[in-house]
Formats: sequence, structure tokens, C-alpha cells
Amino acid sequence: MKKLTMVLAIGAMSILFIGFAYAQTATQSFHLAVNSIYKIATVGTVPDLTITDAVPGSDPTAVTDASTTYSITHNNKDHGAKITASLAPVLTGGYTLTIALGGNAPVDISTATQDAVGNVAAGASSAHAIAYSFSATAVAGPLASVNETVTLTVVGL
Amino acid sequence: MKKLTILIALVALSAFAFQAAFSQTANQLVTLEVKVVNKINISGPVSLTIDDAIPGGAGLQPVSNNATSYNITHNGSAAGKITAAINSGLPAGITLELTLASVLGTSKGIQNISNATVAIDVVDAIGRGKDATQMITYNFSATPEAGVFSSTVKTVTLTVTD
Repeated sequence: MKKLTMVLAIGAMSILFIGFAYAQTATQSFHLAVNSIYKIATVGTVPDLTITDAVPGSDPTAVTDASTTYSITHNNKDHGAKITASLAPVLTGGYTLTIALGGNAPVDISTATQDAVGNVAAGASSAHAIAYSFSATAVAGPLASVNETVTLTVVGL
Repeated sequence: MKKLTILIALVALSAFAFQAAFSQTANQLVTLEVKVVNKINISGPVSLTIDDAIPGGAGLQPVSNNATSYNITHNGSAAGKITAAINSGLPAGITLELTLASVLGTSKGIQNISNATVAIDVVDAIGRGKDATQMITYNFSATPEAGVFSSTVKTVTLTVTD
């Protein structure tokens, strides 16, 4: 009877060891982060904006272009973002360049940076129209062809 | 002191990185140009008919018309001008005079354009700008010796140039 008890005990221990040999765990910690992301890009080339005509008795006829677009991605879901527009170099008096982004009201960027879109919700979107209008007074006279750079900036609010 | 300098540098770098993380830009090239623009138009046609006289007086009664006007836009030189020409000359004794009012420039006053098949100046020293509804005055006269002048269509051409 004593021998039988020992045999049973050894058998039970063996089963326990087999159990340990067939299961084992490991843990690993992760550090995850999504940083603030603000991205904007323009698509297309703006044709030359050249004023060549007038209705007699009125200032020269303004020229417009809406052939280019912009794409935007940002992830500031709590506060949103805005898009500013600026022009360099600035224009002298009598010449005006306005820009309208994505159907928003046009803003005059001839001499100063302006908020072109007030509050853009977090997300990714593209093919938003960029509409330019270039005008001049008759008093301002002709303007030799000049290359200007329009800068769109997406800024977190 | 060295530690303080390093600390300030780190703070400055952090501020820069913070700013960079909250904005991003895209540039677009735009080419702008304004050409020389000289434009003029006239409000409408004019009809001038002489049909009266003071007997024994100073010939036939001249007629005038100031019912039409012109509009002008000029952004070229600061010394633009308007010239006037008639498509073909009038017979001797028939006289057509033209006066253009002007705010932008200086009117040359009454100008005889009866035989001005080569354009003559009627306004000069036109500065850059726009002028609307400026009066055009025609004076049409004839001597009795010139006889009857049948209804004839004439064309007066106003041209604005630098």
C-alpha cells in the first residue's frame, strides 16, 4: 500500500511537469503615439494672370483663375486648424490679388497674410478649388510680368 | 553657467519643434502682368441738319449737338491723347467742328475736322485713369454759297493713344 501511494504521487508530479513544459507566457509593453500632423499641398500650375482689356470708362478688367486645387490633412480633432495665405513679394498700390480657397470668401493677399479658411475639421481631403482674381486700377498703370509666390499655411488652432 | 546655456538652448529647440509641429506650408507660383490698356467708346450716333437761316443775316443757321459722350480708360503713359479723324473730307463751305470735354486730360477746344482725314489731336496730356460720360459737341455750319448738301453718312473716329 505504501508503494502504491508513492507510485501515484510520482505519477501526479510527472503530469504537473508535463503541464509546465507545454505552456509559457511572455509580455511586452508598447509605447504608441500619433503626433500632430499638418500637411497641405497645391496641385496644378497657375496660368499667367495678365490684364489686357477694359470697358471704356472703367478700370481694366480683372482676370481670374480657378484651375488649381489644394489638398489638406491634419489631425487636430479637438481644436481644428486654419489656412492662411500670403504673397511675396507684396504688390504696390493699385494692384490687387485675392484668393478664395474651397469656396470660402475671397481675401486680399496683396500686402498682408490673411486667414483664407477659418476652421478646418480634422481629416484628409483634396481637390479644393483655389480661385485667384487679379485686378488693377487704370491709375496704377502697366505692370511688367512679375513672378509671385503664394504661400498656403495650415496652422493648428 | 554652462548648464544654463545648454538649458536655454534646449528650451529654444523645443519651442521651434513645437511650432514646426503645428503648421506646414505649400507654395504656389503666380505670374502677374498688366498690359498697356487704352480703350475708348462713344455713346451713339449723331444727326445734324441745317434747315434755317436769318434772311440777309450771317448765312445759314449752324446747328450743334452735344447729346453724345465718350468713355475712356487709359493706363499707359502719363501723356496720352485722343485724336479725331473723319473718313472723307467735306466740300468747301461745309464745316464740321468737334469739341471733346475731358477731366483726365486737357481739351484742345473746338477743332475743325471738316478735312481731318489725317487724325488731329482733340485732347492731350491724358493722365492714367478712367473718364466716363465726357461730352462730345459737334458744330455743323454751311455757307449759302455751298449749296445743298444731301444727307451723307460720315464717320468720325476717336483714338486714344499713349
